[in-house]
Amino acid sequence: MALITSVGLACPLGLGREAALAAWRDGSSGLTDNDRWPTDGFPRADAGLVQGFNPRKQLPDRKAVKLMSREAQLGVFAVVEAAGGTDVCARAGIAPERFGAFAAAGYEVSALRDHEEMLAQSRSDDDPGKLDINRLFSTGRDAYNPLAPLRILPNMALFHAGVTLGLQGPHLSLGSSPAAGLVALGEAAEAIDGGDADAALVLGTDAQVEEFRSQMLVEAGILPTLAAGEAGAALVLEPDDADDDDPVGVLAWCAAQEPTRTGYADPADDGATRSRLYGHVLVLAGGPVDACLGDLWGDPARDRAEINGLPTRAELLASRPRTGWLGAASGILDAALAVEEVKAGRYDRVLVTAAGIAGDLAAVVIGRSGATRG
Amino acid sequence: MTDRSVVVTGMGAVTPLGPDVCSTWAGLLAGRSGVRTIESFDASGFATTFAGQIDTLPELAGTWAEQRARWSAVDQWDRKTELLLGAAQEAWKQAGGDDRGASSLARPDRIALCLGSEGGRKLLEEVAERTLAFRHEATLEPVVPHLPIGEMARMRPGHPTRVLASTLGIAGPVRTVCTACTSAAGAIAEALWLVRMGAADVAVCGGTDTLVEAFMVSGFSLLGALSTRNDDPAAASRPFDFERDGFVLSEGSGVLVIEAEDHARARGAPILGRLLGAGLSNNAYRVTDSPPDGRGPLVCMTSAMKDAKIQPPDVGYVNAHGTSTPMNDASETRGIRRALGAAADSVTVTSTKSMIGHLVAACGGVEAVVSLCTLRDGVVHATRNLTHPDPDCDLDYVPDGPRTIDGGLSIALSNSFGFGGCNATLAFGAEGWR
Repeated sequence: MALITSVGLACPLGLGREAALAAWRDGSSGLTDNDRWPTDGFPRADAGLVQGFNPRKQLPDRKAVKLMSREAQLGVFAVVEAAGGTDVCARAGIAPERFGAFAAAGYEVSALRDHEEMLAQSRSDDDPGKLDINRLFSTGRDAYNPLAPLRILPNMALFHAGVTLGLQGPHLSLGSSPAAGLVALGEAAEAIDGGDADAALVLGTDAQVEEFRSQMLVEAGILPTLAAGEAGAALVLEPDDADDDDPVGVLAWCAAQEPTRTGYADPADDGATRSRLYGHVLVLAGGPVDACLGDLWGDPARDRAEINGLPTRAELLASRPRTGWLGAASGILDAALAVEEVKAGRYDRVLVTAAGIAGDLAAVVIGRSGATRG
Repeated sequence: MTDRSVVVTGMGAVTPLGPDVCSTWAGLLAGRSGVRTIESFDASGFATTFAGQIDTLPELAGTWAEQRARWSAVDQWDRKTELLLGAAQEAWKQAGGDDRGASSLARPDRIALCLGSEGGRKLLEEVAERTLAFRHEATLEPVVPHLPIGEMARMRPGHPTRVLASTLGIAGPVRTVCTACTSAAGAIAEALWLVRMGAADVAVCGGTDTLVEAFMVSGFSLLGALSTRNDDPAAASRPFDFERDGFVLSEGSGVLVIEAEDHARARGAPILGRLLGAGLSNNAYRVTDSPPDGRGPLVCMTSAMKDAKIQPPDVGYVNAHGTSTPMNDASETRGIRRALGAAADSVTVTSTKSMIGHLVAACGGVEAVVSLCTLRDGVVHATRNLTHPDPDCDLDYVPDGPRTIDGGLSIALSNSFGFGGCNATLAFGAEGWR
């Protein structure tokens, strides 16, 4: 079993592991007034913001900050905290090519802001509301931010994490779905268990509190049920011979696809696919769980399929109503919260689930070492 | 966990050389270039005015055509999805699949889907309209309009994956790998491991991308990454040549159907080759530069050979990442030398990008297909435009035309390296390799 030996968090519940876990324990909400843009006429006036985060002061390489999107900045904060600093390979005595890195990251569309001045400089003389693309290389060129194309690449968060920590091992960045985070966690556990890595970093990061993205969430039917949120969450995984006096790890994981789903609020979804997946992962984990950190939004109609799929005797926990929609970060944040629940002794085994808008599903069982993993 | 051997039973490709594997492979052996002056928009004022372009789209039929109509009706159909479904249709049919979808090959929950894809490649005009629409023209304050219905869906990296999963009714593990130019190779690696460990019996895997639009051409051009050989586009992609000056953006899709050998043989599927292993690594170096010592490629090639249980002398062919940028080609050469040791002197190394340009998130899928064709026919396509050898690139790049290898080839490696320092190597074996 791959052990989860460390956690790093920058999320609406708090900046840093201790603050975030304390807020989770006391039941606080991470939602606050959204001060990023005027929300008059917008479906929600609140958002899941990471308060007190100053990347130029709190990230190890100030010069790199301008290369990073918001999700990369949040992600680097989380991975540095999880790794206990930037020299994790040296401290742990692990060769860089034996330290893997797996991530789920949101896609950057706020880079549109980077283009505004360039676009303004490239408007057509005949119709200022239209773009004259050939002006890009005349009047618009000086206003073009050449770093912008790099920021929209979904793997840039993992790149910055890898460079910051000097990780050269197996390296995988998955698409922006909430389920992708749990798949990344499962892949990291496989890399550890299969002997492909001696340690692995897992990162989930996303930044949805941006007006363009938030409008997309409205169109997708996520807002206003959930607020938009942002977070970086990171875990360090090691083999179960690691020196950990309270070993908690990945007991089992599994992923599946709901092939007919057309959106988050599909009324035809009775939870049958989820039920099969969650049942299968419990078999792999060798038994039932005490609690579920599920894909629950706090809306009975929308949560029906998830509740139908979850095991009936387990206590249901939910982070999303307290953090907002965290996209690719939600799976790893919930996994970190599950580790906290087990280490605090409240539960022995927790099922963590996540679902993507495209019908992708993933489930992980987190618990104490000793259970058989499938 | 099991350790099943994995075979390839279907291949599909849509490239600037043709709408299928046959035409693409024939074009490569003929040394044709699919690179020409951009026709889809007016690029005359750009620093780079050419790209690899597809002018013949594959014909979608039956359920594949129905899916195009279905997704178009909700504004969720775009070019990269069209290219993907074209390549997937070809691979699916070759593997013996039909319009019943997943159930025609295996139980739907025993089929995986792993695709490499980046976010939506938006037309610059759309970006401009969206940005202008989103801000009040005078105050630049947000005005929060409604977006087109399909906007969010088409922007998501996983959208083509979703469409293909829906088309085939796949219910097994599904994921979208987003590692820039390594995406498709990383997705094929994922699929290999899913089938090998027993999480699926069959996997559809590969990648799709479209880079030939103003936003991408302008962005990569201003980064200084693209060739500016506007007077001779077909000569612009010249990997390992001393006069190379950057890569050539392109578009396309490459898809494989892979499956556990026991499953494939039980249903009498065609065995086109073997997917023996894969390796992934990270440079931890710079965002767009390759480490001069080739350490990232070294780690992933070594990992792939270990995963495939092969030794350097087994390798007869390397389908190089070979982008035609000064840094990549020298770094990759160094990585190949370090990974293969003395065997590097006898291996053939070619760059498919010399003829079709750089398909970015899709390149690993198409180059996997090319590697399998190479093993099947025992013929290595040439590296086009290599007329002035670079002393820092000192391998056998097959510059003079396609080469038939006496006795055939048993093992091919396919390299993909991406922005952000991610690397992937796939190891393929001929059908008869044990």
